[in-house]
Amino acid sequence: MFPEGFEEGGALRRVKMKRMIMMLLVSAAMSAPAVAASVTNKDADTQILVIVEDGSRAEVALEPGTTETICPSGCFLTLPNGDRIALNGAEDVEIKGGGASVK
Amino acid sequence: MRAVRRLSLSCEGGLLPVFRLVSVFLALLLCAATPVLAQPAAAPAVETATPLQQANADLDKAGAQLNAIRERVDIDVDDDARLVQLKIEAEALNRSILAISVATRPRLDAIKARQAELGDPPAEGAPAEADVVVEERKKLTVERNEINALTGEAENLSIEATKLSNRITEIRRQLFSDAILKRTEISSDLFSEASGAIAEETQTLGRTVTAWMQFVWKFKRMQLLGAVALSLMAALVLLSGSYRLFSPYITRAARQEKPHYITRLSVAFWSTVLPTMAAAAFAGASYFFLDTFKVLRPDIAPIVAIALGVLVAIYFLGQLANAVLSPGDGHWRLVRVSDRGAQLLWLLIFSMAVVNGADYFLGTISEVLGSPVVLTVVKSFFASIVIGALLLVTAFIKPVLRQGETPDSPGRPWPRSIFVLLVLTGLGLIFAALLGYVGMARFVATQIVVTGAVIVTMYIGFLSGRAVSATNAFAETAVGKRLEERFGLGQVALDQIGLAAGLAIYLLLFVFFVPLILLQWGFQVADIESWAYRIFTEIRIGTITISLVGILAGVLLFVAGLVITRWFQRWVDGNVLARSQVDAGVRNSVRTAVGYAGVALAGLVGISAAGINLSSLALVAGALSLGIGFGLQNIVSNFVSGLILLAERPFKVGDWVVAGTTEGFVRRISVRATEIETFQRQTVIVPNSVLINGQVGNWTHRNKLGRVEIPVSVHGGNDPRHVQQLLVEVVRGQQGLLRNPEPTVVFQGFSSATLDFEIRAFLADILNGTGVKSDLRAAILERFREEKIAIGAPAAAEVPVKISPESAELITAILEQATDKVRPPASRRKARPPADETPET
Repeated sequence: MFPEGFEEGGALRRVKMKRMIMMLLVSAAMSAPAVAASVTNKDADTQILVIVEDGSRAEVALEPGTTETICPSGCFLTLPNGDRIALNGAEDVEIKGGGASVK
Repeated sequence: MRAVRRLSLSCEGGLLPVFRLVSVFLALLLCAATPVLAQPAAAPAVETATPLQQANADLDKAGAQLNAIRERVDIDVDDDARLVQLKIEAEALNRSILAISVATRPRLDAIKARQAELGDPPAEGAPAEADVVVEERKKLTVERNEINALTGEAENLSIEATKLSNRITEIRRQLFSDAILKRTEISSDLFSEASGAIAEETQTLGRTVTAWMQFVWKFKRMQLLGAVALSLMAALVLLSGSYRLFSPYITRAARQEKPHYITRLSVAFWSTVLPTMAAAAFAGASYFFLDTFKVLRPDIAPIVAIALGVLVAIYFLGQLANAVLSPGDGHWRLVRVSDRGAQLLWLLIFSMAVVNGADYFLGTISEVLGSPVVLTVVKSFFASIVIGALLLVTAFIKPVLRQGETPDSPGRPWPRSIFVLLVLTGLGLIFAALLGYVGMARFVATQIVVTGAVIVTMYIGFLSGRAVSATNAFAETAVGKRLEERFGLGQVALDQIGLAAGLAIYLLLFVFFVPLILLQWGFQVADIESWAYRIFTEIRIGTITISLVGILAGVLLFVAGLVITRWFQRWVDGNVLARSQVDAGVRNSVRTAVGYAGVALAGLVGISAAGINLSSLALVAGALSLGIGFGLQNIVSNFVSGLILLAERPFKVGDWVVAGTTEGFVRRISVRATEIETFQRQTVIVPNSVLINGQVGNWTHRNKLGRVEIPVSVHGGNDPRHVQQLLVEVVRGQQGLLRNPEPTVVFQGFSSATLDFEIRAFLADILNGTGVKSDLRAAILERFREEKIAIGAPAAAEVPVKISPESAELITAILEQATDKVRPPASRRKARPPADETPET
């Protein structure tokens, strides 16, 4: 009955679509994946971790309750209780009682 | 000095890079696809065997591999290309070591959990545990220690692997600076030694080549001819195809007396690139077929390869110089130089290319034949001096023309800056060679010749890309014309294609020429490969890693999802809904809902394919929700209202609605706003929340039934019942009105002037109301005229006057007096007619 009206609707929909795609891209860019691992100390004492990354060994002291971002590309971690774990670089590690739980 | 030769290898890599690059990018695409599959495949293998033993075995293997790589580094300590490869292997090994130890983590967690379940061992004095528990405790502790030991081992291995990879980088850096800065004492001894070697080398070369040729001619004749024929075919196909595609761009049409600058530019670029690509294809195909047919021998293959590569490079340079300088035809010259100057310049540039190419060719021969290093040094020494001399000669020719001078006029010397630059570079090359820095001289000479040429080509290509993407430029090209003819493309479409073509040319330039220059500078294909791989898979900014391939895949999946959604939408709408006779409103709602659901789904799929964690999206959504609470409130409320409108459907597309002051037809219901087209054809966009919260009148909600009212007034003197009767008759006879509910005629009011009636009748389709009303009015008027019924009020009001008897007498008397007075002049008028009365006659 009113074909021209429907055509206009089509053009508008395309504009809408573009806007939608833009919004999606923007939100995608905003939430770009964070890949580095993070270590949180849930103990009451400062814990010393030994991190082996890029061929070098480094000791990191972690205050109680703090979170540190480590090894973006994978590393080895020696925990206060003597356990050694390897991280790919996307994990969240919680230190509890000298041990670690990896998520 | 071997380093110099390595460098030469790295540089000659630049001669056949087009094929390599293509294969590199293909490989890249494959690489980008495989890692996803590779990792999960490895994990179950570890878990099925006893995990720890498996991990131990893997680690031992990794250690062995690391040692092997280390040994190979020691062996190939001066081979740049191998070192790059080894570095990549070391890095891969490092990753696999990490993966091995990561794979042991679940077991460690399980042990820890079990240990926690068992609790602490009983304190002293407490009753002893069962033997089974003690046994298990012991076993768990042992295993935990083993895992820790294993991880510690992996840690050490990883450190070693990283150190090795760093060492390789260091070695390569050293290699490069050695090659450039190594100094050879230039003395008469060197030359006498070299002259002895050269005689020997000539003999060996002659012997080798003759033996090979005789052998080939006798036993491999068919293969040789076949290889040449096949590669010629490949080159011809490429050449003719590109000529057909780009014909106005690569041939200098004789008809054009004074070609435009853009035309000259495009011709220069394409007439350089396309034949060079054809030549490179020929060379590459020849080598490939000769190699496949086993015509080449290990000692001959490098010579053939370098010969083909050098020839292609020289051809490229000659072609480029020809395109830019156009020594034969001044009208096609890109730079403003005289005819004589162009010829000289062409000759000089071509000679430099030949000398440089010969240097590399002869260097490779020496290397293959195992001649003494001094020979290579001496060859490069002479080549550098010749190129330096050629540069000096170039500085002293006089090619420059002023604006407006004809090409055949005598040229002027170079501008001072260029002159100084040429002289300094030439002298620098000669002195560097004389001082013994042959490697550096050779490197610089090659840079001047090849990198200069590549940059010039890039620049011309860049300009030509800009020319193609200029407004309406593409429509003028043969490709544009053909597209226009075949597909009937409009100007806008052609212009857009032109823009895309321009961008494609930029991309081509970037993808092909930047790696070419990098190869020139001594980087290896593997270097560029790994950079490209890194760029595509992980760009690291701080702690955030972005993968271009992932994002690209996400976007592609999203687009695919959109296409599928559109298709599904059309299918549901056209096939299912249309045939099930659902009304238009439901169809519209379903279509819209399917569309939005599809977009949302495609978005989710795309986002997860791009490697974006949906939980981090939730974080963003959480951050946004505050903003939504304040700023986006309206939009969200409109959005929700839109969803309600789609579900509830108080009106549908095509309905006649009244919302506030807006009245018209609904044209489109989208999720944020609804478009209403008024009768004046103005489109009013009404936010959905207004439609949901406010009152909306819909003339055509359940059905299109509607009542029309027509007020009719007739003269007050008419008989109301007669008029009413007439109106009822007329209304009953009118087409388009419903009989049930019955139309009625109401006598609404009367005054001294008019009688007012109203006709109330129902219509099946209110949209036809105007037409029916108009017809009805016409019919009523016709009937009234037929029946001689006076319409409307009299022209003036009839006013009754009251008068007292005295006044009446007085007025009568006055009137009589007046009549008497009027009479005598009337009698006098007969005797003497006055002049002022003539108009009456």
